[in-house]
Amino acid sequence: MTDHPLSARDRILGNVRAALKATENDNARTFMVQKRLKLHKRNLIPSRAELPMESKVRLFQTTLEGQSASVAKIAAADALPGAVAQYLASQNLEKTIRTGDDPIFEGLDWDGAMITRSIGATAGDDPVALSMANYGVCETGTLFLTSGPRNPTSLSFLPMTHIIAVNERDIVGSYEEAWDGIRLASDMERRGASGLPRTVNLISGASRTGDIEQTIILGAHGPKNLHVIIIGKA
Amino acid sequence: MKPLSHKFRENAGKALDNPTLQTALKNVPEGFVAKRAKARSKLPEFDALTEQAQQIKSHALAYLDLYLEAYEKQVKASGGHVHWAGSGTDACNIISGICRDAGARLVAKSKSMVTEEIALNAHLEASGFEVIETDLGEYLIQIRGEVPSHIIGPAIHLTKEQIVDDFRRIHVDLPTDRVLDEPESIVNEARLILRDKFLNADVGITGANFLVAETGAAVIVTNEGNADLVQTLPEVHIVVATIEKIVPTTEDATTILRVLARSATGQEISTYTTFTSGPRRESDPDGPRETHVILIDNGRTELLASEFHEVLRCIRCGACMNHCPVYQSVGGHAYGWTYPGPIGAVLTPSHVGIREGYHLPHASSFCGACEEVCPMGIPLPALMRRWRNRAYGEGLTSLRQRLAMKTWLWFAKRPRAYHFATSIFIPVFRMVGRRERLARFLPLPKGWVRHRAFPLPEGSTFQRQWKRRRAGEVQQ
Ligand code: SF4
Repeated sequence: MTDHPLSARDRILGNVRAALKATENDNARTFMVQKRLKLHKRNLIPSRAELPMESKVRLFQTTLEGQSASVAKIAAADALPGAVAQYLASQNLEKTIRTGDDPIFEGLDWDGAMITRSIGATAGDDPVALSMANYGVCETGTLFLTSGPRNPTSLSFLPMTHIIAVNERDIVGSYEEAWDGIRLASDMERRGASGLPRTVNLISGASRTGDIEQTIILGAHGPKNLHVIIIGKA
Repeated sequence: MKPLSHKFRENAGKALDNPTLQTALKNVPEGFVAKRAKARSKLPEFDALTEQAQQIKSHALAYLDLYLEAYEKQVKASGGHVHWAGSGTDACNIISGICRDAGARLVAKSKSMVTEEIALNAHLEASGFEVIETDLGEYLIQIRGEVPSHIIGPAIHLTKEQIVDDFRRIHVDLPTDRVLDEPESIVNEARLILRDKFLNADVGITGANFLVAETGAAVIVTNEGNADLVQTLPEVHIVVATIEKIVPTTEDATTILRVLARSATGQEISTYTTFTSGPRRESDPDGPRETHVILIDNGRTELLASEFHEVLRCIRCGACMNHCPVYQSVGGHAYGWTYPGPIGAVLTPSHVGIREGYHLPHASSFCGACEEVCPMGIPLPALMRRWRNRAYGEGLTSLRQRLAMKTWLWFAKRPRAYHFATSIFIPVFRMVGRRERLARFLPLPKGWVRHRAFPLPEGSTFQRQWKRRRAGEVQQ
């Protein structure tokens, strides 16, 4: 390195200020920026995000199905192992899954559904993973997943088949509602950015590529099959 | 990347005469263009959102210094490192330094145009690292030793048959009698080959679609999921981004995301959008242990100070090239540098100089399609015109063109001489081209009629008809 990194920083920031004809300690500018960051105001939200709950769930489901995912609905969490087993059977897949340590999976009867479940990140040798989404956004059929022991990020990308469960009550209209929830859960108000999870993944279908003559092919690097299970309120 | 923009005319000519390329390029209007139109019509708020997206970027650029400082602070708070690089060379040196410190051998990359701009792969390979591109399109051109011909579909110039040939040539460890004829089998083979690379890479390098000042997050959008593997599996993750990628808040990034995929591929949202900041947290079971962000200037502050500053709003969606009749005809390689199409015609001269990039802002019919579809409201034709003016001012315009312009000026200032000349020229021109009703021969601009015909004049000049009409009106 020819330059000391610090000097490159000062030079770039100096050039930016010169280009903008701004000075370094301009209180009005600083105030403007601080305010915008603190308020993080919402911009325009498409009207399709503002629907009654029932229509939201329907839009979420149909949009996802249009993005090469399959969707199932169950009444309550205790039906989850059965729903997973049913899906795996329909795909001729072995009943072995990898999950994070989300407490919602703990009390469930996996044995009863003949499912072998292991917990943790994956090194690429798990054909099927099951994750729990923080939110489902109906606007574009998008699932929000945050990284952590409950949701190892590798589970969303390495297995060929990814099943994502989401609570019906967590299906919201817009991305903005999901962001508010994530900010709240990570106590961003008090802890700042350090409280945020390392990764927030927005997943809106199965992995795909259009790189060969613009033909859409699924399963490029990530999962070829995405199955979403909506858990009802009961 | 060594620019070849001075060869635009020559290379555009070759592209037009290349039947394989012409077959591949047909997919552009049939794919991207049609899909974007559909996505736009499905979202009534689309135009209003593009306006907000423009305002967000303009605001971010007007306070860029402060947002950069805020971003840096947040990255550090989440445990990541920030490096600043004035030039592409500085950036390359910083990145190879990080790879060396990590004791790396294999570096996995996801698609990033700025790394093309700064020729990072060549630098890393020269420094002894193995570099593998993981986006399928990028992988295809990497094994061919080519550069991207489109900013979101780097291999859009290739046909399926070419790809099959390359796979058979490169993947020699696989059985020679394997079936490899459909896109599906090609994708499966790429998945198999690249999976191994993901799992063994020591460093992962991604670009960024946005950098969020509020949280220190880098936002990456893909459909394949390759960028996520690149930033999850290796021990070290490096984000390479230019300084204008900054947006203030998560909400602002979200608004721009609503127009990005729709403008680019015509999807409502790309399959994977990832916000990530810093290394794995203490309790995380996966993710890199060390993360770096390289903030690169490489000409951006100069652009910011120039009459071309609006181009910094660009979100690299590719809509302008998809809708450009010149791009649709000659493809991306003819442009001779990293960014093709209308955005390239504006960006390239600022990076390689107007002497080298002279032809690009001239290779436009000013049909205005690019500006119309640009979600960031960048006045591309006006900016190209500014480059033309500069080229003229610097005396780069050819003697013939200057003579033509001078002649035109002479006539424009002398209406009588103009009318006299046109009254002679038009009948003669009509006589020569009568049979086809279109002129396939023009005395001076020969190149103009090589691939299209010039409509024959109507038999009288506008001014004469106007005069006649006025006279008629008076009579009534
Ligand atoms: S100039 Fe506009 S249309 Fe072209 S890539 Fe940039 S944002 Fe997209």
